[in-house]
Amino acid sequence: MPSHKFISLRDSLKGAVGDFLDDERMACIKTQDGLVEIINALSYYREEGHALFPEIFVIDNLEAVFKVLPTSEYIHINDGPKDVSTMIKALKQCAPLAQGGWVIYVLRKRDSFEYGVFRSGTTILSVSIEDILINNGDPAVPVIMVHQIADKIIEMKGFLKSCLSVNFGVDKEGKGSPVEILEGFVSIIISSVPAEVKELAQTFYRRLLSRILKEGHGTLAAVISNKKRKLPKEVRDGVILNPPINVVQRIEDLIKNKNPQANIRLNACIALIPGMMRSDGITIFATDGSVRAYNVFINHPTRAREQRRIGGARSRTFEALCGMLGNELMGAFVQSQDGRLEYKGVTR
Amino acid sequence: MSNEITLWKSKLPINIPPEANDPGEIVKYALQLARKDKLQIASAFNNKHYEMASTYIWAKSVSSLKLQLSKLGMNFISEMLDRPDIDESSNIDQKLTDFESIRLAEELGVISGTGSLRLRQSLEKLNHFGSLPVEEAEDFQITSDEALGIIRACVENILGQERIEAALDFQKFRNRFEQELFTKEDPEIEKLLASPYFFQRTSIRISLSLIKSATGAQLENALGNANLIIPLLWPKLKKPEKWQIGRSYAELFIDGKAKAASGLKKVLLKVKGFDYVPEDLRSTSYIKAAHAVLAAHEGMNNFYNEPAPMKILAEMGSVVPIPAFSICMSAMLSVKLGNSYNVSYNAQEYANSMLKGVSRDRWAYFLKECLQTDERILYKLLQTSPTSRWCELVIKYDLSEIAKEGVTDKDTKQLVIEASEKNSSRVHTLATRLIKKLGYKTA
Repeated sequence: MPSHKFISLRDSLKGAVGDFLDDERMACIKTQDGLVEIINALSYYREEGHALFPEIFVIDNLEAVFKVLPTSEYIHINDGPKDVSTMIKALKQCAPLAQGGWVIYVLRKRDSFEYGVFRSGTTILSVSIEDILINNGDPAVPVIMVHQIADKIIEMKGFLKSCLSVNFGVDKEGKGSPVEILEGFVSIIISSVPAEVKELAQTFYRRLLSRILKEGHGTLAAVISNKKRKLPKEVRDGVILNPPINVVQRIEDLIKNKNPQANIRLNACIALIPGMMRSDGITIFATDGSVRAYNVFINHPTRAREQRRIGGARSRTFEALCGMLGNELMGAFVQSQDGRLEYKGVTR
Repeated sequence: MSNEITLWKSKLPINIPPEANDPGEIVKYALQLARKDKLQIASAFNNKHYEMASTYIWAKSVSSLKLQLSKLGMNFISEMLDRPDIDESSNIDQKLTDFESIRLAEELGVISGTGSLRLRQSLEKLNHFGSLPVEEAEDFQITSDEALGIIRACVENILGQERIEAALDFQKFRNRFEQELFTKEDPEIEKLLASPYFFQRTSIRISLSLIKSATGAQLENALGNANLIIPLLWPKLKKPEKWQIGRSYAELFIDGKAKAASGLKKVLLKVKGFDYVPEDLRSTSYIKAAHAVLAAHEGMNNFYNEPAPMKILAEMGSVVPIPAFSICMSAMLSVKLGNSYNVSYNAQEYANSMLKGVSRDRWAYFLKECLQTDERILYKLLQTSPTSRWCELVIKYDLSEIAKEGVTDKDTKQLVIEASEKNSSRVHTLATRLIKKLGYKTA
């Protein structure tokens, strides 16, 4: 007799979310049920065919949250009974609004959930809400955050540093967590940036690459030493930017002048560079945080061609880039549509 | 300050015999002056060009003082003076008034309290004579005694020093802030808690300046020390200083300095100080405008230069954001009280229009939280004419009633009450007492 197996992740997810809430001292069965639904919905969240990547913050004290976030503002959207349906409604009504720095909040009240959107900061360099409320959280301001960090991967983090990553994919070939990979690659791009602006350059590239990760679009990138005035000949077949896009100079300009023009110039990079990374070929960065070229193609060495018959074109190019590490390149990064996410770098 | 507990002691002036009355002899002590400068000063004096001699030596002295202060870093100076309009690229000559340079030099122990007093008196004389209209300038000139006093003050306190630098104790204290972690039991911390207010205020400003500029291990230490010192001092701190801490957090947040902002957040959570974090940085524009008024007021030709910046400040709106209120009041009152010679007539209408918008609650806030630590205004109350204008102002706005109701510090309360009775000599006495309590020097 043919067997009929039904596999659901719900029970294990619910258990993990319950443990997470316990660890964060925010245990609540209604919150637990709601978060399971939200995590599930975020794995492939779309509205009218458009992919959305909202960040959701579950909080207990609205006033305390906004006090620690200078220049913040919030828009209250609605209230509802304290159950799953309100959490889902919150996501549905707020996700299309949660873009360009706006995030969703769900305020847990005694008998209800209140929800809306909020934002803080004045430029893209301002400290992120996640940094203040979660990464440097404090027991006085209990908060948990749920968001998509990469294709089909949802992360839930709390103010007490618990972290739960839920992977809805089945064919991940990558090595390490997406956040670690992102941080690792960013650290190579900014490795020669002056100390005074390093933290800000890190924030910039963290934001930029996290957008690429969430979109899940295939991309390849490589980093050359900032000392190389010319691109190595192996990576010259592409669009060479002359002059390069000097991100750090724009950051310095914003710090110094603090005017809208400087902010617009930096924002322009956030709009432009992902477009380059979505193009075919490789985007080339330098260790001073600049972008040197994009749409670059390389010749695969014969040995690599023979050894790597398996894998897609991007994976094979990534292997070829890794072969250049230490000589022409300082780092290489791949995200392929089949789920591979990886970086390799040289530390000096 | 000799009997008081102080964190750092100021450098002593050089020893010029008190009876020396020949400028040629006095300038011999000026190690920082070239021979030709010494000759020119002595020659101008001997030819009875007293104003020329004193203006020349003053310019040399202040320029040297500012140059040395700038070596501490403009960001440090910005924090010490709570001047968000100053940054690392600012030109110290353009940004720092002579008054501010002297005050800062005193706070850092570069010059002594007495030296600072003499230099401030010299500055006021030079500003006055330099601002006289042509017709009056013919009749009123700097006397030889006045010029000699200015030359002596400049040489004793600035030009006679081989190098102008912060007091050694101060430098050690500042270095420890970023190089090691203090503990509650450290003698320096015990001293700090028992020191006059200006040392405590300065320590807070050193701490904020390091948090804003340091990286790596230095930042860790600066944050660790802020986490110890700010909570210890918090109950004693006046609101302007609490706002400065809150504003620093907002600036770090906006500027993207995650580590520093997170560290300061911990401190603010510890002291429950988030009420002092401004919701926006609108107050920064007011602070900058107020400093422009003060720069005009404390500079040359102040009577002509005050109206324009005062007009700008008044047109920004009478409801001043509370984080900027203290410095805006300082600017408004500086214009209203003027100096020992007069006030800028054309600036009065703008200052009056702003003062009209100050509510009773805000006056209570000023008298309770700001006046007793506003050395700028307190120094004015040591002079006859500004004091009589202060008395008129106290009567006009009925400030004695507000003081009786809401001011707890008995000297501040009494200072306002005495002013309402036009008792100028008591106002002088009480202002002197408040300045001494702050840690500064009076005559």
